[in-house]
Amino acid sequence: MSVLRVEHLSTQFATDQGTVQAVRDVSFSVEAGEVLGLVGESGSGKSVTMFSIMGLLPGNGHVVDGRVFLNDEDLSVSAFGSEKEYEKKMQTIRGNQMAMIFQDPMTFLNPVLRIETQLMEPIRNHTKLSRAEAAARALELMEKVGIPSPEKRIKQYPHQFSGGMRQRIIIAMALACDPQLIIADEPTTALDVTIQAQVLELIGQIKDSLRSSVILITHDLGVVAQTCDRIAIMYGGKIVETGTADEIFYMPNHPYTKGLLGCVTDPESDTNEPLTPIPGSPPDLLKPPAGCPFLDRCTQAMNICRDYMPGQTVFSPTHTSCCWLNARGGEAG
Amino acid sequence: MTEPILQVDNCHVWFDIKGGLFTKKQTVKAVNGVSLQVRAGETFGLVGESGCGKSTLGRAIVKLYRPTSGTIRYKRQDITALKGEQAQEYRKHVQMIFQDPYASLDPRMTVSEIIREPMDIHDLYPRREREARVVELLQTVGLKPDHIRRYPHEFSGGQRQRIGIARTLALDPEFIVCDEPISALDVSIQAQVINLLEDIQKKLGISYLFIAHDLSMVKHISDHIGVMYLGHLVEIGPSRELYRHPLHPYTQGLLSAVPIPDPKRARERHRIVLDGEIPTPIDPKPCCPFATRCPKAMEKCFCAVPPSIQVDGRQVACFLYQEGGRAASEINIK
Repeated sequence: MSVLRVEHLSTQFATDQGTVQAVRDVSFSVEAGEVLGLVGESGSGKSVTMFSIMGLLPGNGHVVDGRVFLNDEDLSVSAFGSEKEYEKKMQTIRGNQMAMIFQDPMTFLNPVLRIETQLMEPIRNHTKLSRAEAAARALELMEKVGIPSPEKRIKQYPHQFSGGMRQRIIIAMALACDPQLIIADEPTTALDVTIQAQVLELIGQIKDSLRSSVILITHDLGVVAQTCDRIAIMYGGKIVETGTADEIFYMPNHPYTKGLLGCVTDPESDTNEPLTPIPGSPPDLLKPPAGCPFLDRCTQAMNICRDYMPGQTVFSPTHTSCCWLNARGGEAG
Repeated sequence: MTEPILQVDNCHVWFDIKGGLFTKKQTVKAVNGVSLQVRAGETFGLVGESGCGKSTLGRAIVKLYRPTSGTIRYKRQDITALKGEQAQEYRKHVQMIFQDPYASLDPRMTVSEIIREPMDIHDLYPRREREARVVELLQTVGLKPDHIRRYPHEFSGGQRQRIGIARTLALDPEFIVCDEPISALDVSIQAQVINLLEDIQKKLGISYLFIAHDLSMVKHISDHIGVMYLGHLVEIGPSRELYRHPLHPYTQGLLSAVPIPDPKRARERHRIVLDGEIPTPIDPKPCCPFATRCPKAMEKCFCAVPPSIQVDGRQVACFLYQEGGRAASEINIK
């Protein structure tokens, strides 16, 4: 059974310039114990998708369509009588069954509260543990994420920790209630490479020991290759291709996926093959194209791509792609 | 071998932190004894994690900081003492591309004004020709001539970085310090900018000092690479050899931490995960900078700074390779 199922999710933002269609008809699912990588460039809608699921959209953002199921329980705004009831329900789920790890650990931690207070908050909110028990649990979490001398460190404030250590604390907070699903939004982007390696290893260990599912949002294909079981590629507010890590890296179908793979270099390869960048820049989601979002940058664009969004072509139970090249029975590549 | 166009010898850049009523005066040793050479027409990649001093060194080279000691020689001339007109003349030859294309362009100037400004300052090209030169530069970096009247906010990150590059090229420099020019850009745009820099180098024969923390891109663009850690250059070598066969334990750990975009090899790969974090550069102990995190640290690593020596055509600052040292291959972790 899927832990999370998202069907036809669309999210829009009202701005002074008009309506930004940040997420357009996105569907995917996350199975128990797997790591799903959500890959895309800035503005592709990957973070907004996650905020929509968690009910954390800013005031001008609205889910206009679609449903979200956590363990077959409908968690869409439309399933509740009012925004208020939806918010009440989400309060019991956020940090409990679903937890989130953010990109920038400094803006997520409260600078004027001790780490202990911040770690105990989700525990006290979601469980019936007493103060003392919650404090013990907080200490246990600090040990679990590998913070040295936790008894001393737990009494300190966020500014006394380095970036890597802060990210470990955020991870500890996310783990507080043994969530079924952890959403990690670019958890290592702000970190140095050697610290990134430490944090990724930690996320891997946690997934194995807790059997939680993880959605890893990133733009780094190297990170994805190393940690993810399945990958969804997002572009212009849509998921254009999904597949297992091997299917995406060794049998990419969508021109955008191929383009992305052409933009990265392998640090271990001996040949210095030239980079093949994707020309142009991503579409403006104030006026998203009617057809394929990748149209303007695609080297194989056809007339039909301009007016109609391609449907999904299924290659295997795990591998799907949205491109007109497949529909014509022609070669996609 | 051709003579180096830029030669840095034992360069130190230190910053004082003023002491207060109860605190002593402290010194941030951002760059602590770095020597390197860049040859004409080549790209020297400088890598390292944040706080290792790579940007400080880059800024010292373009004379934005003055070294505390040591020399920086450009075409045999020590530039650290240059003043007034001579300094101005030097800046014409050595330019810089900045990391953040959102912060490095004046939002109230048009693209034309931005690219013209260096020419106006240095009084290069007759006044009337400057406009034509701006258009030409825009085309060189892949922007359209009709972008000339626009303001920076009308452009995307990648396009802004192109404007920054055009401004840098306005003075026909011979040497460009690129300070993380792609780290603020998206993956597909990064490749565009890297290709652009490579094309420009091929066309104009400019030398680059390419500072970055993205190790795969650095390998792609550089001929030689220097690895920095806590103000020291721990290893310098030709890029391909350095990646294939890193000598210094820090280089080994750093390269092992770079994720590779290939799931099968990523699963099989044996990774060295370095413990701990980069120590503070405030009054560092006079020992090997990497000793606290090094999996192979010995007693003497905590007592003295290892000098840089030649091993297998490369420079390494590590006691493992010193005095009669063992063969490089014996020590390699991989």
